[in-house]
Amino acid sequence: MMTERVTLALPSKGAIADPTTNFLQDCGLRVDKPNPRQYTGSIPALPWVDVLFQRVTDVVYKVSDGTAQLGITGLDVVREHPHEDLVVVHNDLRYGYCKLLVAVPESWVDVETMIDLTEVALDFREHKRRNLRVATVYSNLARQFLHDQGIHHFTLVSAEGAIEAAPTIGYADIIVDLMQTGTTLRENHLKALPDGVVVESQACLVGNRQALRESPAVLDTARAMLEHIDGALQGRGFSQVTVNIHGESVQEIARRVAANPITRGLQGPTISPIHGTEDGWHTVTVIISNSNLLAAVQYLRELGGSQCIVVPVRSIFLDQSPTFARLQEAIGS
Amino acid sequence: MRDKVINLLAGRLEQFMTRYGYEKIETPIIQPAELFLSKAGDQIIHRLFTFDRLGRQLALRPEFTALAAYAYVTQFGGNTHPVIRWQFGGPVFEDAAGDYQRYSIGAELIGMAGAAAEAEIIAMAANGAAERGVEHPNLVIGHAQLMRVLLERFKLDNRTQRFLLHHLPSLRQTGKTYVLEQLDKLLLGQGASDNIGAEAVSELSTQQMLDALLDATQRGVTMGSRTRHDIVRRLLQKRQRATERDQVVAALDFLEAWSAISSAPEAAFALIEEMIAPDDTEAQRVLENWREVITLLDAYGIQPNSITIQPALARSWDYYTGIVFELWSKSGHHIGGGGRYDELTRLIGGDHDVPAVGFAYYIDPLVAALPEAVATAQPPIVIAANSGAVAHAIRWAQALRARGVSVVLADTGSDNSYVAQSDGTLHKAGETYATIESLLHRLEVAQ
Repeated sequence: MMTERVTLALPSKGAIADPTTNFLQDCGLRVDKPNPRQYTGSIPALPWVDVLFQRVTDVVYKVSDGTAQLGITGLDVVREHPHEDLVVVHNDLRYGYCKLLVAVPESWVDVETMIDLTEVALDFREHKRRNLRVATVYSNLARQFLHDQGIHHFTLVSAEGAIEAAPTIGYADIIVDLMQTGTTLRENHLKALPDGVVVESQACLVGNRQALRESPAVLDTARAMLEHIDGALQGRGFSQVTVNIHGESVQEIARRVAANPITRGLQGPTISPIHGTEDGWHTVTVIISNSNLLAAVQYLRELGGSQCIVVPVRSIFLDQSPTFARLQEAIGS
Repeated sequence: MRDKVINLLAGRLEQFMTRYGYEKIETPIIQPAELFLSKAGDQIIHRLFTFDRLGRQLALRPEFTALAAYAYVTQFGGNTHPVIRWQFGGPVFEDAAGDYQRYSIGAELIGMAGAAAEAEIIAMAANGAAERGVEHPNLVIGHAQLMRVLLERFKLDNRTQRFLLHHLPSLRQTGKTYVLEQLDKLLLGQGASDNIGAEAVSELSTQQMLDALLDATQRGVTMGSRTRHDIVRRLLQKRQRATERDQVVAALDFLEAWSAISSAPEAAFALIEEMIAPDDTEAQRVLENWREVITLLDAYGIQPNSITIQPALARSWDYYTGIVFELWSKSGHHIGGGGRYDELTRLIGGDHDVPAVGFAYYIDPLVAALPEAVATAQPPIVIAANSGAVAHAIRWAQALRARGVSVVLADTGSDNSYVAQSDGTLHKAGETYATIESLLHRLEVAQ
C-alpha cells in the first residue's frame, strides 16, 4: 500500500464544482467531504489521496507550484495561466463545456464578424482618438486573440466578475467572456461573434510535471484515475443486454445473433444454455452501443428473443488506458 | 562560443557601418508597449513581451525601428527634419516559447527621401554581409507603394484593401478561389443589409430604419461607446462594399498577376510596365524611382544578377511605404531585411511624416551563413612560464599586445602554449624564439 500522500485539487465553487464530484462518482471515485465548510475531503477508492477544494484558478496555481500534484479545472483557465510545470493529463472529460468568446453590444448591427470588429477598432482610433476597451478576466488569452485577429489598438479592462454588464455600465465597449448557453449575453444585450471563439473549453485533469516524473505515487495515482475515467467514458455509451432465445444449438444461435453487426457486441455474443423446464432455451449476453439499443432489441425480438434485460455499462477497461500512454509521453518518462 | 561569434560579428559590422557614417546609438530596453503596437500589422506584435507595472503596459523592445523613429521625434520635434544615420546593436525580445532573447543589428537613415537613400541602406546591408564572408548575398526587392498606387484604380475602401493585402500570402499559397471564399464569407457576404431592407440606401433613411429597429427590439439599451450615427456610417460602407464585388474580383486578378512576377530587374520591370496604365503618371514616377535604385546599386558594386524583383514581396504592409527588401545567402538563409517607412514617425506620435529607410540583420541565420573560418574568432595565443620565468612571460606578452596580438598568460603550459624560459627565450614545439620579430614572423606565416 502506498505510504506517500498525494493531493488532488478539485473546484470548490463555480460552474464545474458539483459536476466534478458527480463525474468522479460516475467513474467510481466517490468524493467524501465531511463538512461543507472545510476545504478538504477524501476518495475512499484512493485512500492515499487528500482532496483539496479550491477555486478553478487556484487549482491551476496549486498544481503549477506543486502544492497539489493533480487537479481538475477548466481548459480555459489552464490556457490563461500556462506554466511549464503544468501538464494536461486528460483534456476531454466531456462536461463543463463552455466557450470563451468575443461579444459586442447587440445594437452594433454592423458588426457580424471579427473583421468588422477590426474595422471598428480602427474607427475608434481614427474618429474617437482612443482605444477600444475590452472587459475580461482572461487578459492573456484576450490579448493574444485580438492581436491574432489584427486588432492592436485596444485597452484591456480587468475585472473579476459581472463582465457582461461592462458595456451597459459603460466601462468597456466589448467583452471577452465565457458563454455556456448564451442567456446571460442576451439578457445584457450582447451578441457573440461567430468567429470570435477564443477557446472551446471543458473540464480537464491536470498534473504537476515534476511530481509526475519524480514521484511513483503521483504517477500511480494519475494512472488509477485515468483507468477509472477512461473506463467510465468508454462504458458510458454502451449497455449490456441479456436476452433469452430458443434455438437448436449455441452455434446456431450465435450465427443468427452475430449476423447483424449491431448485436455482434465487442467480440461476439456470450451464450449459455438455460437449465429450465423446456429444452433449447439459451441466454445471450452482448454489449451494445446505446445509439443502437432499440434497433438491437427489435432484431433480438425478431430472432425470437424474450425477457430482454438492459443494464448500463459502468466501465469498459481496454488493454491499457489510452490516455495514460499519452501522459507518459508528455512528461517524458 | 555562439556569444563570442556574435560579439565579434557585431564589432565588425559596427565598424563597417561607421565607414558609411552611421553613429551607434543606445535605446532603452523597456518602453511603453503602445510604442511598438503602433506598427500595426507587424508579425512581431503577436509575440511582444509585455507586462504591467502600476497600471502601465510596458514591453521589452522587439526591434529597433520604432525606437529610432521615437528617438527622432523626441529629439527633432517641430518642422526641421535633419538627416540622421543611426545604427543599433543589442538584444531584442519576443514572447516565444524557449527563446526570449535574440541579438539584433540594424541601421536607420531618417530624414532623407529618394532612391539615393534606399540604395545606400540596401547596399550597406548587402555589402556588410559580403564583407563578413557571406558569398554573393542575394537581394529580393519589392515595392509596397507601387502596389498601393496601382490598387487605387479599383477604388477599394481601406478595409477591403487591408483584407486583400493581408491575404497576399494565401493568394500565393492556396490560390484565388480560397481568398474569394474568405472574402465572401467575411467581407461581402451576409451584409447587415439584410437587417435594414434593400431600398434603404441614403444615410437619413438608414438612420431612421436603425432607430426604429433599435427602439423596437430594445437592442439600443447597450451601445458601448458608439453612437447610432457611427453604426449607420459603417452600415452604409458595408453596403457599398457589397455592390463592389466585381471591382474586388478585378483587384484580385491584378494581385494574382502581380504576385506571380519574380525575376531579374529588366525582365520584371518590363512586366510591371505593362501593368501600368499610360496615363498613370503617379505609378510611372514610382517605377522610375525603383529603377533608379537598381542603377545606383550597380555603382555600389551590386550587380543586377544578384537581384530578384518581386513586386508583391510581403513584409509588414501597414508599416512600409515604399521599397522593401530581403537579404538571402546563397545557402538559403534569410539574413536580413528592411525598407522605407515614411509614416512611422507620425504613427508613433510625431506631427509629420518623415522620410525614413532602414534594415536589420537576422543574426542567427547570418552566423549560420558565414563560412566556418570566418565565424570562428581568432583565439589569443597562450604563454606559460617555467619556474622563475614569470616576469619574462609578462614582458613577452606586453610586447605582443603592443603590436595588436591578443595574449593570455596561463598558469601551466599545454600543447598549444608558448613557454617562457629563465634565459628570457620562448619555446614552442621544439622551436626557440629570442626576439619579438622572429615570433611575429612565425605568427604571420601560420596565418
